[in-house]
Amino acid sequence: MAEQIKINSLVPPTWNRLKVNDVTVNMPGEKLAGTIADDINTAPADSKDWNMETGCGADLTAFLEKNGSNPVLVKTDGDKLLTIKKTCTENTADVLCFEAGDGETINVLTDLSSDDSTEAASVLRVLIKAGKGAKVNLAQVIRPGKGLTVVNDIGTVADENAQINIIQVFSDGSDIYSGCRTGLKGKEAAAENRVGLVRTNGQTIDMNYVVKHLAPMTKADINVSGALSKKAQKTFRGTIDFVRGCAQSDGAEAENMLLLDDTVVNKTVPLILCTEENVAGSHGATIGKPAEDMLFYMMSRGISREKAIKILERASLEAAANHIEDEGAKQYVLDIIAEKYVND
Amino acid sequence: MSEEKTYVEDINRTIYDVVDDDSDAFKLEQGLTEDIVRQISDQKQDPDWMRDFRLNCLKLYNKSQHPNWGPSIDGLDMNVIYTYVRPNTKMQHTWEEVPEDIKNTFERLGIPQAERTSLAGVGAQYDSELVYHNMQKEVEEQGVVYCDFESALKGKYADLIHEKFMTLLPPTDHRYNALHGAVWSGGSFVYVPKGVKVSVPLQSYFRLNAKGAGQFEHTLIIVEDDADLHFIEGCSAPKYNVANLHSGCVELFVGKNAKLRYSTIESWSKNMYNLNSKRALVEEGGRMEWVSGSFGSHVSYLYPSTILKGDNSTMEYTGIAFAGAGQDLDTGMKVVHLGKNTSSVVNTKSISKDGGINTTRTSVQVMPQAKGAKSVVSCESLMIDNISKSDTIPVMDIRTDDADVGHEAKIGTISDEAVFYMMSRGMSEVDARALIVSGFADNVSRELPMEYAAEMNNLIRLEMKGTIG
Repeated sequence: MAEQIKINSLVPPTWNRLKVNDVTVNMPGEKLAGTIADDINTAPADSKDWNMETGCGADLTAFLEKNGSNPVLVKTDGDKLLTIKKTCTENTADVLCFEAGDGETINVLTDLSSDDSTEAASVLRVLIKAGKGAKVNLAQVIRPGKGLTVVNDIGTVADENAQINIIQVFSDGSDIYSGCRTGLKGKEAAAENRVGLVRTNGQTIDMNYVVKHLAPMTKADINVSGALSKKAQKTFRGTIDFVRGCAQSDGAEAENMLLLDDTVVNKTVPLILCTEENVAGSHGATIGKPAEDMLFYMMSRGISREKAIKILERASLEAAANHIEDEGAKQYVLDIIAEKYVND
Repeated sequence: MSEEKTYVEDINRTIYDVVDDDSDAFKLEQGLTEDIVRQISDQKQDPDWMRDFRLNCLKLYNKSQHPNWGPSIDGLDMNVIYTYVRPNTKMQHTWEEVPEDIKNTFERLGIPQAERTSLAGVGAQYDSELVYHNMQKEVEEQGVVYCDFESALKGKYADLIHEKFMTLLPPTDHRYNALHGAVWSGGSFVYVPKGVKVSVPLQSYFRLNAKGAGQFEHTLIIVEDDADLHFIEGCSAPKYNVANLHSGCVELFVGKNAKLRYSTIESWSKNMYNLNSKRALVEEGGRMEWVSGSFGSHVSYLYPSTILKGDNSTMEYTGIAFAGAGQDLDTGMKVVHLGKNTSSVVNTKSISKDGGINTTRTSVQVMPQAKGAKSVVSCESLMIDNISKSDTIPVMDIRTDDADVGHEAKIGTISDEAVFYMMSRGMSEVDARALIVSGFADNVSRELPMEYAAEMNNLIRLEMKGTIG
């Protein structure tokens, strides 16, 4: 029997009538198998050590404790790219923990996919600890088939001078629920979240991204770009939270959404919370249809309007992918995007 | 340069804090019961439909809950609030007829003086009833109606009021609309006929004097096609050590190609719970302008909302909120784009100091039929110290591709470089910081008539006055 959980809660909440305070997801009411650990080098992780807050939140944690698999600590080989491919054929839940020690760099790429015949739910939770001066680059591609419900959840903590870069590419297919919560707890820690997304054919994407500035001189940048068409629905909650004591911190959110027809629903909720005076926080959003002069330019060069729109969709994904630091990971993702649009 | 902080004084509220003796006022008992609602209805000599409406609202109130978002109102106990307090006077049409102590209060607030120099009409409410109402003869001769709400309810426009009353702000919307519907008293009705342009503003001033009382005035303004009006609302109260409550409703109907500017300078005392609702419906080519300054109250929930129903209708909101010690101000605005080629421009600013909390809450909704809609929202927040709080909670809900929506929000502190620049030109640090804050609020004061801009700037200057250390 399906179980409903509430995730991606907005803190603090706002008007209920806008239906952005959280989202309810139907999850299978059964034990979900972890399928990733078999393919990579892991060790059991102590749940108490990895009791971290995440973007999707406490309800998902409770669900995973009841129905999910045990968390595993993933071992990486220095800064060598670790590619984790997950092709879903059944209900799955994986909790992967990554720890970059002081001064270490790790590069991780996750590629989650399914074919159109798979009717299932997939939960992937990634927990990251970055030590002093460490750097974690996480690239994620999520390209579900038509019947896969994806819950992609991240929680991170960055120590002094650490940097966590998370680049995500969400291609169309089926519903995606994505959360990410970053705690910048060390002085001069930095985080980047960059998302490129395409949603069409009634698909939903619901996102909750939170960065907490807990120490002085921390820096965060959340950037979302994408394209919506054909009854697609997108909700983006982005929260920059300046906690008292995080003087001289800087947090920025930016969103650039292309709405490609009038059947779409685009909800944007960019919060800035502040209990510290000496900070700089900003948000900017541009939401609307593609500029007519840009389309005209392309059409005047023989590109049909339909193809021009596909080019813009692809550009939304590539804009994010181009920020992946590891060249191998970047090329991997760009190749996936190119393959997707090969006939367009 | 010095890293010392500017100490910012509390507002000098001398003119607001004078308390008049209310021992000769008529008060209904504290609390909210069906009997009290019936007594209010008796006092107002309501028509039958209004009595029934009040009782239905009470039922809705009793079934409703306080919202699960926003500041705490735990300090507000409806069981000890006086919902109806009538001063010992009837409504007068000359200031000479107003009782001396009440007249002196309004004199201190500058209302009669403003009426003489810069207003076309004034309504002055004291606790639950209007004590003064007057309008220039020339404006009256243009067919403009500006009167107390109770008179309007029984006069020529009774049917119109029956048709419009609480249709924009239905009691089912939220708990405090229901409360208002049950116990409303006082307020103004304004009707501007087609094509009439009222060149000088009208003003209603709401003064809450009684300790532990609520004020629930209702304002209904109808600006017919091609007409033009500027309406100013002011409000204040002396500070008490118990909670006072303000839960007014403002319903504004803006006709085709009409224009309405609604300006508010709110300076409630810091024991006030200000749970106020305002909404405008704008027809084709109409324009709604909100200018809002929130300086007072202990807790505020205030979000003037606009429905851009007609094609080519427009809205502009300019607001500032200044939260000091003991204040939790949750303010902002809402706009719904329904018509084609509608536009909204929103500019909010907030200043937080001395532990004050500002939350700027906004929503922009563009519905599928609102082709060509444009919306630009800008929220700026200034933190004066690190014991205060400033949150920005915007929502954009866009349901058509043919819309152009921009939003930007910024939060920051007073730039040391800017202070240093001004100090290097001979200005003291205190003056430099005060000047920067005044400049920050300049976009609001520019939108107000001179007298009100001066009052607002004075409020800011008093807030920022202080010493280094």
